Amino acid sequence: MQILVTGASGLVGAEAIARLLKAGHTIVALVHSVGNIVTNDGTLLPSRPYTGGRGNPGELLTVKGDLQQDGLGLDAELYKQLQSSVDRVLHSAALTSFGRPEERYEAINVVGTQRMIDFAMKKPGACIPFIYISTMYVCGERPGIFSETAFDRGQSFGSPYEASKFRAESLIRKAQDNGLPTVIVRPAIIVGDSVDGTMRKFDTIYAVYRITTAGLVRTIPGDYGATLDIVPIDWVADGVVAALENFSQAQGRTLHLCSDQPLALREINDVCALFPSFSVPRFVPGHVFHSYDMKGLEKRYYDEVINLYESYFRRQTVFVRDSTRDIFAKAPPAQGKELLHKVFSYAVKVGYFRRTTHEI
Amino acid sequence: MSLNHSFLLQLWEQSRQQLYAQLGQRQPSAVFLEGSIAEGFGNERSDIDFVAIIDDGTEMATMPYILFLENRRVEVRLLSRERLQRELLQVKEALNAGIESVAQISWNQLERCQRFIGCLPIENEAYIKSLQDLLGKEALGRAVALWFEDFARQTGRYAVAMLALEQDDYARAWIKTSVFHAAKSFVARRGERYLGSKWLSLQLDRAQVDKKLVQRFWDFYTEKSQDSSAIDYLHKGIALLEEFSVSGVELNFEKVLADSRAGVSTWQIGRHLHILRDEDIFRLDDGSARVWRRIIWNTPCIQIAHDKRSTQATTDAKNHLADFSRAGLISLCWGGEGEIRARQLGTSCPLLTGKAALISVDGARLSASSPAGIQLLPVPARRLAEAGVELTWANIGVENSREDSEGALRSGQLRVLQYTLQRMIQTASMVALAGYGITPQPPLEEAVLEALRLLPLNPSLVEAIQRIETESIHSREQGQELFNLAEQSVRELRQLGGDEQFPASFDTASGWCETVMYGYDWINLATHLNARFPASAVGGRGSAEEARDLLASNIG
Repeated sequence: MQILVTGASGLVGAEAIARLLKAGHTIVALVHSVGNIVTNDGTLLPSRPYTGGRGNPGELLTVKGDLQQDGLGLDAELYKQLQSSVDRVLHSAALTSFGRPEERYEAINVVGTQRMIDFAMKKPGACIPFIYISTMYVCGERPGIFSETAFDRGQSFGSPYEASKFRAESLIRKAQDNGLPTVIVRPAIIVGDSVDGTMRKFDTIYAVYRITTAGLVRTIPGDYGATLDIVPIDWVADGVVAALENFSQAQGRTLHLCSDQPLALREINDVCALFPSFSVPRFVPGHVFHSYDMKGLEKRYYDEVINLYESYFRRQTVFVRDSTRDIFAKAPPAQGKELLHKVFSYAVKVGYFRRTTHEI
Repeated sequence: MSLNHSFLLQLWEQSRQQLYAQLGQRQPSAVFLEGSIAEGFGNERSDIDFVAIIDDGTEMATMPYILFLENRRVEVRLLSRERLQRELLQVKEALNAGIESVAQISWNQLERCQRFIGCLPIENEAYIKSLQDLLGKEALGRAVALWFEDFARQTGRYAVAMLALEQDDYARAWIKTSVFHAAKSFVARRGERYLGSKWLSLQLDRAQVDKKLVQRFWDFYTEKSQDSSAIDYLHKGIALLEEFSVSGVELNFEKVLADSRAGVSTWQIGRHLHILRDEDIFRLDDGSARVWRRIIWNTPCIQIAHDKRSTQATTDAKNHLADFSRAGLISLCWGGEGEIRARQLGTSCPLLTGKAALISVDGARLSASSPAGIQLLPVPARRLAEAGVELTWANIGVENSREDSEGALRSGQLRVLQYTLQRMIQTASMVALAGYGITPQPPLEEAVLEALRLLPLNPSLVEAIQRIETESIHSREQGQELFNLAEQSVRELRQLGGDEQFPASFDTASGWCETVMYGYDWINLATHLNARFPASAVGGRGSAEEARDLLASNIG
């Protein structure tokens, strides 16, 4: 198959591509700036520019495009050639970093997704089967069980990122109703690999724990019973590939890539305590926190980073992946505290987590 | 020293009659003599150890029966054929799997096998021979050699680790142990398989090891610390290790890594750092805490300790790391080869109380400064029980070494005497440490150093201890003088916590017996609390049954 992958230089995109190439598929990677496509362990995937038509099995072709422009920023002829030669679309491109202006999330995550839907639906003859990488956190802030069939429950959102992913998934669902064959994949929080925590892009949970473990912010409003659901990148990529390869079976469904052992904050603290250099954050109830008077650097770190993720420290949503198992039965090779320990160990080893002060 | 066969047969016959209750209804399949006399060592004070093999499908306790016959102490053990066979085959299997597996065999098991293979048959030689052939002398020799080789390598690496952390005295103590066991490995390859340490001097002679090498070994072993720097001493030690065919120890500090230990975690409360080690919790002062915060697992200790402010700050950091390791908060590893298996128990703790010892043979001591008639003890119950059992053990160790010393002195075995006197002082130091609740106990190598470091000892006692630790014995008179000095030092160490700490006398049979009975009281409490029991001189975890056996063998 010839598969168009967006977000090819992202974590999930690159790892999925590596697996799909190995399986003999041809990949056309739509990249924002033509650069190298590197897997999570730093391996460069050799590629050549896409000039139209079909490539060879196991070949990686790249084409520079932009989800924020009409026609994906491609030359009209190339757009057409791509459209007619592609058998599947894997849309994993998204702005995932927190703290960016709202309109950027809208432009990339929502409007960009609509452009990809158009690309797939307007192929002359038949729609191109479409796999969309959503996020578990379209669940928003509403507590309770969140199953594969759940979606709009009137939830509020903890960040513009989440809200944008919710709107994008709405567009996918609408397209599905209009005849686009789709599979929606919702990964939980993606972290380093299950073998030794290897990670090339430190973001989200890493950014938060980099600050708290260094003791730069010691107190966070939160609930010890709140849970964070982390999953290893290698397993997520396996899940995406399973969705692609079992498309006809998975079509019309939503797959959950979440762990069997979500981590309660108190368990995360247990793992932090295994590292001599780490401070263990205090979680205090919100009403107490507001009276807590932060000063100087701590306040700055809190406002600029921790605050963006604050809603995650209160959430008690239970994710299930019961019906996902029909398509992708494998459990994460490492999860829960074991996975987090690997993730932290790796981040310490490469110097991402470090104490910035000699104060205890 | 050998005893003639008919005398032994006669002794066995008397033993059998005295043990009618045990042996009247049971016909042993075979009987043999084991231990120092069977091996051709021993002296007039040595015990006579008989073992009867029973093959009736039951599993006997290893508890020996103690008899006094013809002015000799006689121990009789019953051993099932099934157990003997199983243990011999386990050693054989480990040997096939390689040195790593051999190193996992417990000292006790290897010693049981060795004593059997090196035994003197009393009844049914053919039966004994057929069981011995399951392993054989040659294979046993290889297993013993490998076991000591591994121990020498690990302890040698630990010595390097101690030097890396500028713990010069500890480095000396460990390299001494390492070279000693390398010599044990070396003679084992030459047919001297007996495990006990005290006869090494005789084994080196019998194995006809090059005289110059032996002389260099003893010079090294008895060298005083003021004679050379610790680094020179380690260089000499490592050269000897190589001559004794033990490789894998090098003076490369980059190899010494700090790694995590299970059950250890870090908790800051307010401004203060607390380290949890299983159920114990330690509070660090600011200096320690700063070093603790710098630790990154699996990193060379010298890298963690390095402080660009000054060499003194680096030295301080190394001291803290050594303390963390002794307290079992970090493990020391040898680059790429896992934990250094020399001192794996987190042993030493800060003193619980000021000047007075907390624990005596007959239980916990009341605080004199508190008027309360009922006092909550400042240690958890399990810790108290463990320390109590260890205190009893160490007292038994002192008495055994004293007996050995007396025997060696009478027979003029001066090298043996030197060893047993040191053992006496080491075990007496353990008694004192246990009295202060310091448990698990440090290994013998460190017992004296830890007592000096942690306990309030007066200068004359320190001087006496150091003399016994380092002085070479060249004459019987000098031996007698050191023996007297050791006796005096043992008394002082036992009395550290105050006179009422211990029963009036260990010198009388009844006083000693009372002490041993108190030991059973400790075992009862420790068993109830599922406490850790000391197993042997080389560490490990024992069981309540073994503990009872050990005590039983010391009621005399």
